[in-house]
Amino acid sequence: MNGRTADVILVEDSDEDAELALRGLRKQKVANGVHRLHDGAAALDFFFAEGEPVPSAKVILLDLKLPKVHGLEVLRRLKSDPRTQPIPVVMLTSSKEDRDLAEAYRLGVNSYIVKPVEFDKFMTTLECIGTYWLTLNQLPA
Amino acid sequence: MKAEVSLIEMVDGGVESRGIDGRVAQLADVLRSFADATTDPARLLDTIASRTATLLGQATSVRLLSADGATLEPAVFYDPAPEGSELHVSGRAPIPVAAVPGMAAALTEGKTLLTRNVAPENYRAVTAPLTEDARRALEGARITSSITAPMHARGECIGMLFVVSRAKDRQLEERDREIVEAIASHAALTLANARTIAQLTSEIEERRRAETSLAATERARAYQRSIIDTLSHPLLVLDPEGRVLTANVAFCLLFGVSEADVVEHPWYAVANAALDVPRMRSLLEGARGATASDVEAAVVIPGQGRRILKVAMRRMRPGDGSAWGSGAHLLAIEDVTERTETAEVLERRAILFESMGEAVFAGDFELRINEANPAAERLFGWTAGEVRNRKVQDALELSGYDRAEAQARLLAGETIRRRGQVHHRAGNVIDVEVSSTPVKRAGVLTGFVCVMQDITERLRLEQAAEAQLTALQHANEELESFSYSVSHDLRAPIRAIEGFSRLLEEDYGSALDEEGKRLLGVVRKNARRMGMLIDDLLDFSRLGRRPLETAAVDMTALARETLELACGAEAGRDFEVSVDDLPAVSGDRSLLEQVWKNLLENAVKYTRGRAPAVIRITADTIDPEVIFHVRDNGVGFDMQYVNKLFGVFERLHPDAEFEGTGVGLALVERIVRRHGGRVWAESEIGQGASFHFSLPSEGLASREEGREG
Repeated sequence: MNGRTADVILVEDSDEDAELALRGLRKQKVANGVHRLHDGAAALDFFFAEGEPVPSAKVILLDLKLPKVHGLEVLRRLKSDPRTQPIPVVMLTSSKEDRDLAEAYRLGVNSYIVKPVEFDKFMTTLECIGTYWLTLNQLPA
Repeated sequence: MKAEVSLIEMVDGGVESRGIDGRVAQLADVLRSFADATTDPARLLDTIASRTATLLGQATSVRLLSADGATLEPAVFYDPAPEGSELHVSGRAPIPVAAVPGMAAALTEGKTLLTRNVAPENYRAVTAPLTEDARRALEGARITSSITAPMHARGECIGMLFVVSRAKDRQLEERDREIVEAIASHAALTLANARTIAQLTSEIEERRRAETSLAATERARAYQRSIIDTLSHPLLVLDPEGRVLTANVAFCLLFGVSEADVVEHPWYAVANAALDVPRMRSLLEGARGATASDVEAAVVIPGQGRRILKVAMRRMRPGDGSAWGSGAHLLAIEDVTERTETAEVLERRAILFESMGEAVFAGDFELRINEANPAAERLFGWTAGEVRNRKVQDALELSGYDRAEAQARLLAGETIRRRGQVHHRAGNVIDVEVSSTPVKRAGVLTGFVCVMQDITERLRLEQAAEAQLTALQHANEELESFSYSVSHDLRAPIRAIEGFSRLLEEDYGSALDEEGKRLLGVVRKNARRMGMLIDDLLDFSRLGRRPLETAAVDMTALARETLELACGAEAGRDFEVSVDDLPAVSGDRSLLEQVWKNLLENAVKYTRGRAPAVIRITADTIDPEVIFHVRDNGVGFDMQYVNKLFGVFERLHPDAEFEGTGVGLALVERIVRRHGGRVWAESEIGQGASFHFSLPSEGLASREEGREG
């Protein structure tokens, strides 16, 4: 992980959730590793840093309720910039509010996953995410 | 009348110079003269008396027998020597036949009497029944002789020819008697003929007159008939006894009868006795022979229902020229139902106008005020008289809306509703709702009506309600953001507790003894339970905010599928289930699915240990509701806690026995209530439970609309 390039970008403010997520993804063969960002502002800085090329990623796991800049705003920026628009964004959040789901899909989210409370389910979920987006999913060259 | 004189004496002492032939010729001349007056009895009588008197040179009178034969009435008297005025007096007095001896016999027998040497004492008897004047006159006349000749014609005595002489030296003689008798007999016949002719003439005349008047009557009847048929008022012509002589066309139309049906019947009996209203009958019957007007009564006319009739009765007088005779009555009927009803309606409207709480004023097409009710006077502080004939824009102080624009639209025929402020004369301002309606006739604006309602109180309530609504919305928003936070923030720590205790177990399990592992298990179990509670609570709260999506729902299919899933979750158990055909309802499918899910999962859960577990689903339609029933043979519950059953987090069983969060039935209750239905349950411990919920059988969509607005 060189800090600018990673297979998975995890935007998550909760250290605990981040640790559990990493554990779930551990079983996957993540070549370029996981890069974690702690808030929405950091996520925007990472992708849209002045004078830097836009980093690539196989998937962005984005929490909804983030400090500084809300997850939906981050999503909006990612999906409205042609450079970041093709990067798959998966919302990984505790919220299963209808309006959050509707707004996320309106903004062009690629998937929306509610974090299960149960550990086993959470692990299974992350394994599935890893398998799907890192192994099965094909991205444009 | 003892003395008899001979005809010879009479001839000698009388008109001897003329000779007997001369007298016969004279007599013939007298009798011929009668023929000249055969058609005029009065002239004939005159001729008889005068010619007889002239012939004999003596006073002569004719008396006619009265109709009862009792009296001889003087008819004519002629005296060639008028100096004997006393005779004139006596000649005019009637003579009672019975009072003069021999008179009646003379009259009936037709004998002509000659009386000579009459001394006053001789005819005392004759004069006795006379009046004093007549008697004295007769005595004073000093009659010496007389001839009394009854006048007989066709076997009947009609009167008497009476000749008297006053000369002592020239008494009447037998030959005079013969002449007088001849004259009397001839005169009687002529007189009788004259009378007959006169009577016939008069009869002919009478008949001719009658015939003329009959034709006139016919014409008058036809004329009057056409008049009464032309009248639009129903009319009856009645005879003096109140029987119908004629009914006009309008009458027949009103009562649906033909004239033949009513003629000759009493007026009150015709047309199924429709007019036989006791009050009217007594008033009109009592007024027969006179005139009664404007008797008003409600009658029921076959085929027309209740009508109010105004009836007038008038008697026709001889001068009216009535074709039906002077005793006839005219019964004129006027149907005043509409007029009476209109009057009643107008009266009610007037009372309404005066007593209504809304201010009302109305005026003409130039918006000039004609009238204003007391409420309007109170609202503005003027009297109706002060604003009458003034234009609305000058008379009424109003603000709060574009009056010119509103007036233009009113004049263009539009009804205007506005809120504004009235400026009371005293200076205070009152909020009103103004409703101005144009009045049109045949599409042309003729005036306007304006209603104003004081809405001060309503505005106050509206403002209060609005404030409450805002507060409620605010509270709701807060609640929403609260539950949003709960859903997001509360679950993260739980996930951490659950996840990390799991990591502890996985990574350091070997370092823990059995008790350590059990304790860790308790932590994890409670973290999971907390997670379930939060999820259920969120479901419950979300339900209150989500609008219903109403559509037709196949309840049979929904109940079957849900039941299958619920039973499938507990594989290996022995179920005996049945689902009847349930009526379809209108509702939110996913919410109704939630209802079935909770009820059926409960049924599955609380029948654990029953083999077979029996679950039956039925429904009844009892308009306006459909009631669904879920019955099981499970453990049931204690009815004394039934009111806790549908409360949030209320549980009647320990979690160790039957897991659960206590939200399921609260959710059921909330969903059913939002659909306009209700839910209830009954049970006995150990005897199973039955849950029931009702939904409106129709019109659910419209019921929901208000709630969501």
